[in-house]
Amino acid sequence: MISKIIEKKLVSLQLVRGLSSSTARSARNNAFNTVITEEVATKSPQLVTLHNRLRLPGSFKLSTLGRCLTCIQKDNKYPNNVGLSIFGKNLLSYHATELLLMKYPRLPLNVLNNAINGIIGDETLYSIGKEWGIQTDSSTAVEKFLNEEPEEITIGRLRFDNQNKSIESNLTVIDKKNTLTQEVAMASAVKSIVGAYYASSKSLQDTKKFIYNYILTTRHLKIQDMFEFEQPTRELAALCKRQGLEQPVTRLLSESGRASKRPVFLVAVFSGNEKLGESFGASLREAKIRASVNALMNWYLYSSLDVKLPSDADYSRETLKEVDHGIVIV
Amino acid sequence: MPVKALKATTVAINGVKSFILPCQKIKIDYCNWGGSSLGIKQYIQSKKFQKFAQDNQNIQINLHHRPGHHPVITGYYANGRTKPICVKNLDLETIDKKMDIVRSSSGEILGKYKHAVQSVNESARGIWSPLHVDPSQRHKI
Repeated sequence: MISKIIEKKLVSLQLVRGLSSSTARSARNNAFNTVITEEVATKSPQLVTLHNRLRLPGSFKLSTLGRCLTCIQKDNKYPNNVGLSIFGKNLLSYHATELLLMKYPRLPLNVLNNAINGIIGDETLYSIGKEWGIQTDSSTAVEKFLNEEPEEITIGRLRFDNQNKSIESNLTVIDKKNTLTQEVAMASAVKSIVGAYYASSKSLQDTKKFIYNYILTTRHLKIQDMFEFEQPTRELAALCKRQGLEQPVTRLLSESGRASKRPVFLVAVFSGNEKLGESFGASLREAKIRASVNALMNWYLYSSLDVKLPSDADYSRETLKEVDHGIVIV
Repeated sequence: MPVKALKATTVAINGVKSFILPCQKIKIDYCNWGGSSLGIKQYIQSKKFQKFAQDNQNIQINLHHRPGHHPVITGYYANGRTKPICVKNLDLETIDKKMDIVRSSSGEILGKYKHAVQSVNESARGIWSPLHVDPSQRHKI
């Protein structure tokens, strides 16, 4: 029993780490007859160009890259990317969560979850994969045989059992059993490239750099557009009470064309002599609500100037300046 | 009611931290028989083409024998668009320039930009507001 568990663990370890030892694995488990060899992978134009495009290190083998593009499939002769993909997903979610939590320490939990999903969700990773130039394999086995498609061309494409199979023009079969959508398959390939990056470079700092350069910092997320307040004025009042500030008071700062068709009012929220937020609106009521929203956003989107992450080398707990008290409940 | 969260996805800003060339693949169609393919055949055999392939190892280059047709260079881009350029009867030098155009293009439709700067970030200075001007100077409606 114990030996079986150990063997299972070894197999899962090899899935993550040992890509060179996959031959030993396939001998034990007859599910995969063939392994993508380095010799064939070097001939594949898609793999070589993808490797160069992402400036992957020399230790990241082309055959590993080929494995990253192999999704779980029914009739699959190559080892698939499931283990690498899970590993890569964990690396990605760790770095995305860490970055958001340290950058915006007061972010509400539901906004944080949505933001993480916006950064490393399947939809985003799909568009990242397309920008990286990962091509999907849409031809059937018969077509491949008739076209005499060489192995190196096949392994350079993203291979998966497509949920939507177009049989003829205007005719698509949707088969949800053991299939993947193109989006999920592409996302798994991107995740497994991240996982394989660590597996081959064996350096967490290099992998972090890769994740930041190619996924996190090279894309822009508008977090301020992700909030929706139902009763911002009440929420602001509750927040001020909790923080021991004076109750918020709205004051009209300036106005233009009150009697005209398009009046503009500039309103600010004050707590004592401190201005919390400011905004404009076409009516006094609208301006007041907008100003409260602005004040709440200023609170929730607080960000310190020098952000140090726990994965940084020079991080210490003393640098932690802000501890969140949680969201305001009205 | 507490804050509600809306969904959003990130927008690519290619060039920040890392740059991925939008041109992913170049397909070169040529004919072995037609006279209009003379230039492209010379180009394929030339050292210029070898250098191009060596310098751009992130671009997949496909040579496609297409008998009875004029030669075409087609670029395939990250946004899913293609850019086909006909190179019939062109000489080696001009074809080299055309290859450069295909390589450097973003794949977007050619158009005129209205503003000198395009950015996904908000302006650091903010938009000018007439309501924040000194009240004595302010325009009254």
